[in-house]
Amino acid sequence: MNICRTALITLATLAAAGCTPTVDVTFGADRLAFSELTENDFPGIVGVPNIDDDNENGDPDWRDFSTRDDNDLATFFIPAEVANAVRPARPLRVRMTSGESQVRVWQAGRLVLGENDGDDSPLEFDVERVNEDVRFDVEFRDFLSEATFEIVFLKSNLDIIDAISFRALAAPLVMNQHLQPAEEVMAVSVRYSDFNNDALIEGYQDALGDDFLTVDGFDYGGDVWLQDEIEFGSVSANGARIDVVIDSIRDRGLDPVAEELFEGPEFLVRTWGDGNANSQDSFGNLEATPPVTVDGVHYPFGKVYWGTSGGSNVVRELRDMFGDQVVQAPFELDSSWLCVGHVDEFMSWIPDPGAPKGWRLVYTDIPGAWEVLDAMDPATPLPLYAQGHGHDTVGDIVNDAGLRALNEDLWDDYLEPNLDILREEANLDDEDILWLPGLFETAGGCGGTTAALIPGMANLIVANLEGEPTKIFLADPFTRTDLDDQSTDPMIARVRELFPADYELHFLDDFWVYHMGLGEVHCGSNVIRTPVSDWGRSIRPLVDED
Amino acid sequence: MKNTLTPLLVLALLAPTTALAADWEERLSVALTQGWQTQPDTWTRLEAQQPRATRAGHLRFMGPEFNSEAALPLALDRLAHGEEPEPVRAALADVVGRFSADWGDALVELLAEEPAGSVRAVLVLGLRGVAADEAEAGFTIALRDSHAEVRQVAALTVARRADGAVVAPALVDSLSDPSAAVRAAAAQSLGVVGDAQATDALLPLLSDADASVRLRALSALDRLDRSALSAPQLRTLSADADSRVARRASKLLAQ
Repeated sequence: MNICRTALITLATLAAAGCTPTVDVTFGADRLAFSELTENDFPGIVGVPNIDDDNENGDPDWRDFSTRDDNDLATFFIPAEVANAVRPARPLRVRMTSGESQVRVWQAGRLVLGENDGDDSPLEFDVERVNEDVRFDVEFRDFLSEATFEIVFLKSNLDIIDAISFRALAAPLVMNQHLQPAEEVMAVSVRYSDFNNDALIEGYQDALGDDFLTVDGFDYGGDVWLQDEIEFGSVSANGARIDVVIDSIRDRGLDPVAEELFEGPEFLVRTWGDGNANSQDSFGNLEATPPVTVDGVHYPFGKVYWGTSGGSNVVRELRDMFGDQVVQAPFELDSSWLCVGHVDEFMSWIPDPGAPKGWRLVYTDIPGAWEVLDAMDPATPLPLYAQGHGHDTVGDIVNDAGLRALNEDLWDDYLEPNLDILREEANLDDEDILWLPGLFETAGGCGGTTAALIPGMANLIVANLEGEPTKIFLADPFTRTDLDDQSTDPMIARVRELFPADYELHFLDDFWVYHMGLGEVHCGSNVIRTPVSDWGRSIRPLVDED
Repeated sequence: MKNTLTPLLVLALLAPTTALAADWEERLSVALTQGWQTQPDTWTRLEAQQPRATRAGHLRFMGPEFNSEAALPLALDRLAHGEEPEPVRAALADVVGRFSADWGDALVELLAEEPAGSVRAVLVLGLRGVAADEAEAGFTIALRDSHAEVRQVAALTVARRADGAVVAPALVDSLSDPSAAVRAAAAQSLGVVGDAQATDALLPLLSDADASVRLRALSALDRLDRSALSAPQLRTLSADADSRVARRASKLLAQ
């Protein structure tokens, strides 16, 4: 056993033991010592990038060349025992061996390593002899900014007595996924002369109370597609948290909502790409799986995915960003068969502690929908389907051979192949799937492509607030005659059987404002979630591999 | 000229509906007069309604009041006689098409007369719910439309009718349409309403240059007569450059 490398001991003890001085460093608030790291630990400092604007001067804090007013710096310490071993003929030198444009190190408010404001960037720094811990603050330029450091005890001839090297890594931008606890759910309220979405808004308010935010649609041109305009993500490390609004280039009525409602000292708004948006650029088409392990590689934040439609894809800058972030290794699904072309139209994810992997994929079940409808009296009037789709009764739907053939083809040619992609990219097994009834129909004005016939229930919101039962908000399918009595709806009865018994299911009336507008509950809502913490160890293989 | 039909053919196709055309205009006039007399407030409100952008970006009337049979006369009047912008007229066509069961004659005439292809492409969906003779007349016009999307949606809509087989011969003609989307749509519907003649016509499309046509022909033949698909054909298709075609063929081979 090498006592010199395994314990932090006083200089006196070092001397008594006849050891030469050794270097050590501790990381973060927990003061995890380098000398105590195991093989599996992330060997270094993790922190959040200093990209927010704590002092609200209009510039990202990285550009301020100051650490005042800042709460986004990581720390490391040279323990007193080590600093006290410094002698004039035995300097203790901290070297920045890479990443000087990405990371800065401050000591007592003074820049000691890394990019300087117009001056030469210092790359090494000698620690003064003191009998106390020496604190260093580490500032990161951007997501996944990285630098390497070396701390060495030198002899007078500059031979190395002892040295350690470690790494500093900024947190990646992580797009939220449904297993992260919900903190706030939101939707846009609209009222027109003859219709409104009061039922949906009130359904949310009744279930969530103060955890629901109503955005006034009057301020945003009646644009209700809150999911399409923004996606929430975060960067977090060592207790520091910056929420991030990924702002789409879609830029319809809700364009200013990110800046007006969310931007602030700890809430960053960023857009990737510009130019003319296509439907793929809306963020109903940008989702993330729960944490998955694929081919032995664990993705603690899940994997990001989006749909492509022929030649249309998500704007390149955003695709590149997610690729660069590495940790949510993106993949693509085929959404070309849908008029709107968004992945949230046919699938979602829910936490499920009773499931083998702790979650389930909610996936459109075409045979399951036929099963429910076929069991109904064909003469059953369907008032909303008559108005919205031209199907007066259940019989009009179940006896429509063309509709059946269309949905069979959609299953064979798109839904099942997409499932195969999910099996490969998300290590999906059959037992991980919750099959949720759904049908599609050719939609007018959509070039022969389709949209949901039964209001799309897979297009759902997961509100898993701390200390409360998980609440699922999904579209009321209205497969019944008495529109006011959900208890008479066989589709709702079937869906209730599919979800975990202790989940609260809220079937919201989204028919006129959302379903007729070719979207559903998820498309018109959004959720702020608690970031995944303690990621340093878990992403090491991903970052190292990259 | 929006239509590829010769003037004589247009006249011939419209001949059976010409008398009806006067009927629907008269019925519409009566319905409008009645509506304004009995529900002036409601109709004033309905007349002022404008469509809103869907998630896909195109316009649609979304409220329950406008999406009703009662409001159809107003929507039809705005579409037939108004001068609103094309996207608004497409939204009106969406409403008219859904409630056209008693207004098939109007639908057929509008399909022949409506100048904007994007509007006709929405209107043609309404043929799903009109009387058989009106549907046949409408499909005959729409399947020869100059606008490929109209022909495509018409071909898809044929399969939505229980009596769609009547139009199968016209769909067979559409299998040689210059537009791949139309050929694919015709193949898809023939898989539902086709017969032995359709099977013979579909087989050559297995080697169509367009993958979506090959795919739809393959699925249609699977539905109509799987025995028409030979093992060598399926083996070739199972190596198709398009993954969906290859997947379908491989599944059929394995069965």
